[in-house]
Amino acid sequence: MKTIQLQQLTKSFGETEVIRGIDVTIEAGEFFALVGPSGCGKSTMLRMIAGLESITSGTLRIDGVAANGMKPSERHLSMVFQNYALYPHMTVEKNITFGLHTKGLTKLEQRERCLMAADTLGLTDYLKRKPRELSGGQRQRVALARAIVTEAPICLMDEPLSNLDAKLRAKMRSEIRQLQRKLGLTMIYVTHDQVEAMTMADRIMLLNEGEVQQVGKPLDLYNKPANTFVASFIGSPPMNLAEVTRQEKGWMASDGRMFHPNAMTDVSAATLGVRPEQIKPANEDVTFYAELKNIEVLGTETILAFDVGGNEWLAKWPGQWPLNVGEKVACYVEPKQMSLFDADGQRIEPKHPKLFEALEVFQ
Amino acid sequence: MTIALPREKVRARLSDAASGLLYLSPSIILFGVFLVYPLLRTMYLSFFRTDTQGTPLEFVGIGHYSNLFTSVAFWQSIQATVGFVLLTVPLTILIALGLALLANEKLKGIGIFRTAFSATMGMSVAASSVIWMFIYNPSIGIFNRFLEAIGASGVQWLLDPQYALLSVSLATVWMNIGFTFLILLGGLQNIDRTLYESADIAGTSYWTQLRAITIPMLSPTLFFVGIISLINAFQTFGQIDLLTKGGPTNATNVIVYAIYKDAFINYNVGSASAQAVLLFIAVLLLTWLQFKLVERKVHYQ
Repeated sequence: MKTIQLQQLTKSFGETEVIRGIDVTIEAGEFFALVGPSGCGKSTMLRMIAGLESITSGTLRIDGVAANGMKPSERHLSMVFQNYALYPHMTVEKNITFGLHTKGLTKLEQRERCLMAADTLGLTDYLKRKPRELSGGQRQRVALARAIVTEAPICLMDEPLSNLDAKLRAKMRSEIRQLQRKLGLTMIYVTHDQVEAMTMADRIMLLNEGEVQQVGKPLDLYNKPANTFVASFIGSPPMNLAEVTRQEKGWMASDGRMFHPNAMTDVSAATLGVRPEQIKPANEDVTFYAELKNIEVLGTETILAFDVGGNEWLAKWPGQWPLNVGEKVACYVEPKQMSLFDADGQRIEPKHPKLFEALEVFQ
Repeated sequence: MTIALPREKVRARLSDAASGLLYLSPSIILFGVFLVYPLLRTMYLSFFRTDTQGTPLEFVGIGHYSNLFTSVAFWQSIQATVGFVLLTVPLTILIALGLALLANEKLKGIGIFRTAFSATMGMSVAASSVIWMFIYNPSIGIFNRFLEAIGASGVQWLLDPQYALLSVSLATVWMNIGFTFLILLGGLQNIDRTLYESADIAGTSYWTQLRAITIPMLSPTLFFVGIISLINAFQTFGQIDLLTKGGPTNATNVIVYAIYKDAFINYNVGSASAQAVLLFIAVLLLTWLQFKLVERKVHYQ
């Protein structure tokens, strides 16, 4: 198990800077997800760690040793590519064992390791086949087998599930996670799918335009997004946002609705954020009334769409609600569950959360 | 018992066939006039004695063929052709592959080299032949100048029966490299980069990657280039005509040149036609053999 340390890592292609000063330490045995929209630099960052892309400035340390100039093979890592990078002219067995001779393994040892990896991934019956005779999911498994057969302590994965159908993806998600735990791999996993990141990772780094937006545990990113980008990227459906201005008694959206979040700030204009499931049907206190634009009854939950301050908001109510379009419903949001972002989109932390809780009780 | 098609269906099928033929007509006409008709006409003429205009006079059966198989000149031209093919095809492919591998590296200014290596493709056989005529010139040519500079005696490159075929082959290799290089470079660039990246991470050497990834992945392109080069080599004419005219003492009298001489200089159209038919059969057989033998080793994706 090895740690990976990135210190002020940057990458430029000519004049354009695609990675801007990234600092992070990935702990040994950690499942670390790199998430972001396409073109955010996450794959470039992974390739820099793998040694397939040169580092423009900054230091990469693997287990404390500066690794900037190391060849990919000297970094003791394995990598799974998005297209699996299988050799079409080799059998599955050859694909899995390709390159093992460089590690000084005899033919017999190579075969043993191959059989073990094939057994782990359920490929034993397919060892003599060529990749084109396999299904997408089986090819994916060959790529995984190739990564684990080297017994490298670090494993890099570049969107490994994006070519699979939804059902298989869910299955492979948990399989990869179990494999990583079982082998104690330090895993860096690139994906654009926030669901994958949320369900698999110990920690997530969210990138946008080459800059780190937030690093933390999945639930930290979900509950306390550092900025509006994180808020709108993580979660499905994403966090509802609306521009608000400060009034004497709270914050007002452009349509006159008033909100009373816990966060305190001196700025006069901000962005308010509420997660869809935190908008609840009101019992006594009413935060606002919503005129329904659309209703989706999904069986376990009902998704309501309505406008707040010119933005479409979604609310997720548990259960099945027999509502009609155009109907007005009363909604309630707990003040402490409202997020507030300043004009630059940065999260405003409540200054005295304890005090506010006390006040709520008092009211 | 046959079931009669309803009349509308028959009509629809006929009009389908008609419009299909209409779409195909440009290539049918072109191939028919310039390929199929001459081929059939050549086969026909190979069984006749003709006058100097190529008008058939007398049916001679396989007379031309049996004459050819006993003619020394014919066997000489076969020998020259086979020698020429064996000298040019492997060498062209090997050199072009080496250049393509070099030019496929990601280096600054590699475009200059790619252009230079493929440049001979843009040169006519005539122009290149003139260049090589100067290079081989016994008194002012660069080869002999060089030999004299290191104290060796000059060589009559195109006039010495020992060297003539080699010299013409060398010039041909140079002329063919451009095209072969370009096709092979295209093939190399079509190989997925990630295959090499994965091999880099596995730690395999350049030569292992060349043997285990590049050559198998390039095999369809190599196969294609092999067939095209082989057919081209069998049909070489221009540089022979310009550099040696089939001489000296028939050393470079390859089959197509022999056909040309028989047909248009000796006006022996029947015999020339018979040789043309034999060449056609030989190339057909070789290409078929290549498909049978090599294709099994080719990895199509």
